[in-house]
Amino acid sequence: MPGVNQPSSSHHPSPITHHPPSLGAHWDAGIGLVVVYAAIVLIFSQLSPFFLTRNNFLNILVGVSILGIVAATQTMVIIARGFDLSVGSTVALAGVVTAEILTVGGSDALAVAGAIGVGLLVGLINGLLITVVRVNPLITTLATLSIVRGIAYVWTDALTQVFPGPNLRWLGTGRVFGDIPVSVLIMLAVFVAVWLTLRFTTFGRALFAVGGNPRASLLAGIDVGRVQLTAYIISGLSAGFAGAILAAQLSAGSPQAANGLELNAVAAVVLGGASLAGGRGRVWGTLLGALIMETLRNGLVLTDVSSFYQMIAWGLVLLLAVVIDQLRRGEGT
Amino acid sequence: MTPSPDHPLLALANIAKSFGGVQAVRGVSLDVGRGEILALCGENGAGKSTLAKILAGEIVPDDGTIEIDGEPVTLADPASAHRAGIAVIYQELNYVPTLTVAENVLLGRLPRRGPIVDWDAVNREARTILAPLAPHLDPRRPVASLPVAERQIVEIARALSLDARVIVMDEPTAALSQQEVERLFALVRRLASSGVAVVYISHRLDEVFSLADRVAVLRDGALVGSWPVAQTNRAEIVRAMVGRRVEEIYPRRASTPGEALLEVRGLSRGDKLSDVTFSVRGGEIVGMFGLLGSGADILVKTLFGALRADRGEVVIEGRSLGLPTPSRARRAGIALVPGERKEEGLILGMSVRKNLSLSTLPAISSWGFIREHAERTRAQEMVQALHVRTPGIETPVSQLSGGNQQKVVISKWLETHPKVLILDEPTRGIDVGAKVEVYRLMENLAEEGAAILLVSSELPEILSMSDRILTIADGRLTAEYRRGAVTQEEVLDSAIGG
Repeated sequence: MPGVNQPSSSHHPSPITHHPPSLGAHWDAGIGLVVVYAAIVLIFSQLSPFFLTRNNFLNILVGVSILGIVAATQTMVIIARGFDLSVGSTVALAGVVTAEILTVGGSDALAVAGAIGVGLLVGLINGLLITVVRVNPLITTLATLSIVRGIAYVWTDALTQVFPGPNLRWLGTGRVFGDIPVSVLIMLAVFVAVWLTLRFTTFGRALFAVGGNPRASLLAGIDVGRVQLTAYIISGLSAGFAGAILAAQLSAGSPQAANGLELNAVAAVVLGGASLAGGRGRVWGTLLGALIMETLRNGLVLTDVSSFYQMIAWGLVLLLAVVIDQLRRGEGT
Repeated sequence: MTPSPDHPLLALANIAKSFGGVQAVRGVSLDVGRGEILALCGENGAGKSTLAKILAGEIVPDDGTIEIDGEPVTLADPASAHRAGIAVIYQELNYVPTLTVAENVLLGRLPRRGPIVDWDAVNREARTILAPLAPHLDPRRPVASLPVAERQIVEIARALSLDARVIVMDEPTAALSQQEVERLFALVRRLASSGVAVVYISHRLDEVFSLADRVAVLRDGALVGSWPVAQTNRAEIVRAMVGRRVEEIYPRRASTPGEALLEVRGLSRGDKLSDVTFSVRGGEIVGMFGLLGSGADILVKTLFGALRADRGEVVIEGRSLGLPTPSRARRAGIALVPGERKEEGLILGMSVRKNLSLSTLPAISSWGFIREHAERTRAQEMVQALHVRTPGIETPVSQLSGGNQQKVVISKWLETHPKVLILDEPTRGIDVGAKVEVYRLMENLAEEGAAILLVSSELPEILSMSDRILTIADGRLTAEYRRGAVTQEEVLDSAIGG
């Protein structure tokens, strides 16, 4: 459409100047989220005396850690024009495997390795189906979502496997530096790692390129298939690891754990400013998106709102945050 | 000059338009008579497209008047331009790809019976409108399934069917084959002889001289002048456009080819590509000419590994790539400047800097981490070396003009120091100035010993730039000629095949 393109005449030669990317512009884009988050905090701090406390915020952070870990890596998948709906099921199966290994007397390390192995396997299968067989990512991961969840149920006879308390306590409820939960630190480490990858590495650049225009990326000599495959493997790995953490928090592996986690992860990524069409995404936006969702849930529980209303509120906030961001973007350009 | 009655059909007086302080059009006054074909030439950024958009009612000028047949008109929006009898055919196509040809041609005015669309009438009417342009085109096919040239015909057909008195065409032939161009020209001449005023915007001076009655040249938003084609020549127009003397559009160099750098042996793919064998030596420019559907574009993509070959091999410097993949081809030293700049050459949402480093990420990184300082410095140097006109290296590449975008695509590859450079229609839709720079780059690279394969459907370009010329038709190579030993007609004849 001609209107979309810059009229060639409005283009004029101007001296080539050095423009460092401004951090300001980058943060600006997510301002809608910050406003929404501030509003949520403000409202709940008025409604409940227990909300705005250090302890409650540590609770929120612990509560968001599983979602955060899978959402951080989901950001990479979505930037590369992909989708990974299998993460919730992978978390559950990885948790079940963790519990099984510990129950038969395996070590903590072996249990965590087993969980990560499950993730690796699911990620690899997703990635190969999508990049080699070229099945649509939505369908592929919807299928593996169902298969992996099914395996978790069949394996356990739908029963939660409780394992002996001392196992994995350090991972589930451990605290360091005084009272900072280990799972929260792990989540932050994952976010920092994803940020570093997206911002500074050739792989990160390739993810944006592949999502922005796969054909042009291919013709630029980028191995598009390998980039996407790697993204799915990373997503699987992080879901496997998140499964071990969740099992450690519960001291049990449950086949119905993390039901619907995948949609929350996608919502957090999109809330954070990523485009489902690929090529655009911000990992700190994803963190904020996940925090908004968990903080809202926490606040509604503290103020005794029924879980049905929670669902409605959750949907409204999702819409609100996205609308604010959209309006801002419209003004900006 | 065409005799005109008392007042011209279209009269522009002192049209001016600025965008945020940039004067895109400055005080342009221009008349076009009944039945006159006026060619409008100028470099990118000269103001041609802005003028076209003003006539389309898409942009409202800051100053000046427009008269149709002596009556002042206000073109506030596209609908008022339609009412005034002005139709504009854009360079950038405006169709709905999922709809059929007929639906696109009659978009917004489908014949109906009551509330129900009368599909028989739709297809019948579309067929009538298309008949003079592309009688073979099935109006029921989705536009997305058509090659670019036929999509363009759909676009032109739609504009023509609006019964316009003034038709503005902005680079309408950028994607058309020679035959389609001929057919379009015949149609434009027929329209003109029926009294329509035609404003024909083009970079292709050959077309201008064979079609237009008069040539007007814009530079930096202002009108340099206008000349009846019979009283001017190519050199004069080019000089007027660029404001400096361009000695030769096509540089000449003494060619001293070395060893064969690229050898293609028996490359085949389905029924699109059959047993293609040729070689390009270091320092040599080989031109490949084919009409639309000849398989030239498929050859290029198969050669680079973006399409999988069924059989055959690609050999670089004596080492076989087997069946290539793009990343293997890149590492072996092949560079490809693809034919569709926006869809295949660029990541439009990314900045100039990031587009420039796409093919050289390994070279500017350590342990997988991009060295941003090096990347920036290099991007800066590339932009300066190729005279890419951009506000800065962080500007989204989508905001650059076509010629400058093409320079970005080419520079991206130059940094890989390719042994073999393949260019597919490298000058499509870019202005003379940018063309000359692209040609110079090819020459320089050849002088440094690279093997260059130039795929083009522009005959003058092929004939002037190539040391050797190959023609391709129906996925087979049909002939080979040496520079200077062949005429346009002979090359065209081989490309039509048999």
